[in-house]
Amino acid sequence: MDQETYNKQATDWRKLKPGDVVSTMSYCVAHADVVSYVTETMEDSDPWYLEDSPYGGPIVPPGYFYGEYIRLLAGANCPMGALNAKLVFRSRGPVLHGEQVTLKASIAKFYEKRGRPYMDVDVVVTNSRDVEVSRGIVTLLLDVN
Amino acid sequence: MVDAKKTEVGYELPPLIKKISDNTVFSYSMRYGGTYVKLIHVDKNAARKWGFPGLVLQGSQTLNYAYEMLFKVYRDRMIEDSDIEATFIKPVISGEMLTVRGKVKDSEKEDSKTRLTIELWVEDTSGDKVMVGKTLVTV
Repeated sequence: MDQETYNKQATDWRKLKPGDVVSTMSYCVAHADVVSYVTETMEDSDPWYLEDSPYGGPIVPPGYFYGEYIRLLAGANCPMGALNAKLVFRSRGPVLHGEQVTLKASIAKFYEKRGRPYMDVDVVVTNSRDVEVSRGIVTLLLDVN
Repeated sequence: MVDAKKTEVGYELPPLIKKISDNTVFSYSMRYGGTYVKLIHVDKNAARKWGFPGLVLQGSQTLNYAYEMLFKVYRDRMIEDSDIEATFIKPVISGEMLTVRGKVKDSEKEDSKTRLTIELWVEDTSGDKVMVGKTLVTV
């Protein structure tokens, strides 16, 4: 599906408001997926990601979660806009291979810049002990329809 | 423990160089197959229709490369207490060679810790900046 078709059928961003939780998902970060991500997709075979780390086993690269807003927004049929203009992410702790994580996306704010509409989406990643390990703001330039 | 030299203002991190191929772009974007991925990331014809000469790298993938450079230097500090932000200012097209760079701009003592501000940027083959940003990391 092309961008125009997707955005036309997606929820109208004007119907969303700051604070709306648009999507949550929980999953086990599979060892095989991390290995594939690290070795084939990112080509960053750091031993902490593949063998062992000071955290008691191999860890998931924090960047693994940078693109998860795509799954969170598209899974909820939310607008994806024209492009990803900015990303802000903090890391506050490790996620181990096989660990259960929960991701939540909510609308942070809408604003205009140079006459163009933007949407900030807040993405929070918590680990199996419900501790926030990562948090990000994804800024999307919205289509003007 | 981070080497003191790497906390000094002016320290330049070893640059990270990444060759971007069709497979690099496709492999990352197809992780989100089954949901919705903009065609400019996976379909060359669609990318051309939008005016791009080839597949377009996702911004989040570029940010991953910046994190990779930082992680090689600051290790556990990047996992436990770091903030990274980036603005994407030029599309990255398959075939480009990216160079990720970083430089310590500020170093502030807070009790027994030091808070570093690191300027980040990514250049394409022609030397143009495609991403600019910064990282805060406590070491």
